[in-house]
Amino acid sequence: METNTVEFNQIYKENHQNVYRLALSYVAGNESMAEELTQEVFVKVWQNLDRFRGDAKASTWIYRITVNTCLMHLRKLKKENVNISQEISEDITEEASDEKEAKLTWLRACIKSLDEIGKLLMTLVLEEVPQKEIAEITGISNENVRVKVHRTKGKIFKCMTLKAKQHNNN
Amino acid sequence: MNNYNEIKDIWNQQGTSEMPDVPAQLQNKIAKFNQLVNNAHLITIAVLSLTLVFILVGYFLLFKQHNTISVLAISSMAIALIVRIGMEWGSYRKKQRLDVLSDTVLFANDLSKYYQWRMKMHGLPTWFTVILYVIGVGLLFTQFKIHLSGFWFKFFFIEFWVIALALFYFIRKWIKNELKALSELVETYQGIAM
Repeated sequence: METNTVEFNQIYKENHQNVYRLALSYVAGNESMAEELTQEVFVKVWQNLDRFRGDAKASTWIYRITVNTCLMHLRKLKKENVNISQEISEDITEEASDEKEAKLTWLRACIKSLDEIGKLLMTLVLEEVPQKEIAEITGISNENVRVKVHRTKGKIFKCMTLKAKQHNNN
Repeated sequence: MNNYNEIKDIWNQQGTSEMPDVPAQLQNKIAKFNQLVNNAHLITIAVLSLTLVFILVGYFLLFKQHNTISVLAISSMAIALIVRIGMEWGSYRKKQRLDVLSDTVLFANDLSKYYQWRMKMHGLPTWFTVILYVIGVGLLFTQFKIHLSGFWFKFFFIEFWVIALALFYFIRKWIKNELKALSELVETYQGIAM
């Protein structure tokens, strides 16, 4: 039990930030939801701790849990009738205190507009998870990941350009 | 904006706070994860089982007139509850089998199957249990008519129909919303699994 706790604490400290950021982008910047998701992920990590042992790629496993927990979270959102889009204003320029923050809000809004797999792929790419590892996490072939990521980036560029234009027009 | 590095810079602005210690709230969740009381399906099973026990104990200990109609009434209610308990148990087991360590495609496929199964359960089986239970209660009323005064019989009779109609209205509405939500989820997960 003591060994488990030490191991878990180590995993928590090493991965909390990545898990939280991935969750945060999945729920379009809603911090309380992201925190809830992060806790759910680590409860699952604890439950599956024995299956981690000796596995060289703990990060792949943790990302798998994170991605799958995000997917499962959709049910909860529907049950509570939460519309994530309500959490993020379209007229984001007024809310953001400076341009950097505004751009981050645009980016989150753009990620939010993607389909589920697009959201997850884009976040993993932004977290600098290697393409091969993304393929292992998602179960999508390497080549397919490359194609999907390329398309998703294209959508993000388009969306961000549109947001920038809207901002300049205001 | 078509430069990935620019996007990456925006992303990297996000705060990188100090590595936190495991918060007490998470420690509590972890401590509780093994407790059965945290599972919604098991809570429902416990409530339905208790109802079943109360009905059976009430019937055999308190109700003195054990004739064919009352036996049929109690049997209908008991079967409805047992079927419902079975459905909840099935859901619980299927949910337990979802492996969060699977890759995304496999997991989305399993989630899709799980919610398709839930959709099936919200169709005929749910209506079957509700109708069977209502028939059971209705049959019991014929017995109440024999043993209760006119006033109390009318009171319970009207109350029964009011509750039955309200139940029908709300269950129908709930099932409709639930099926819509599940159908959207299945579509989403199938999109990922393809």
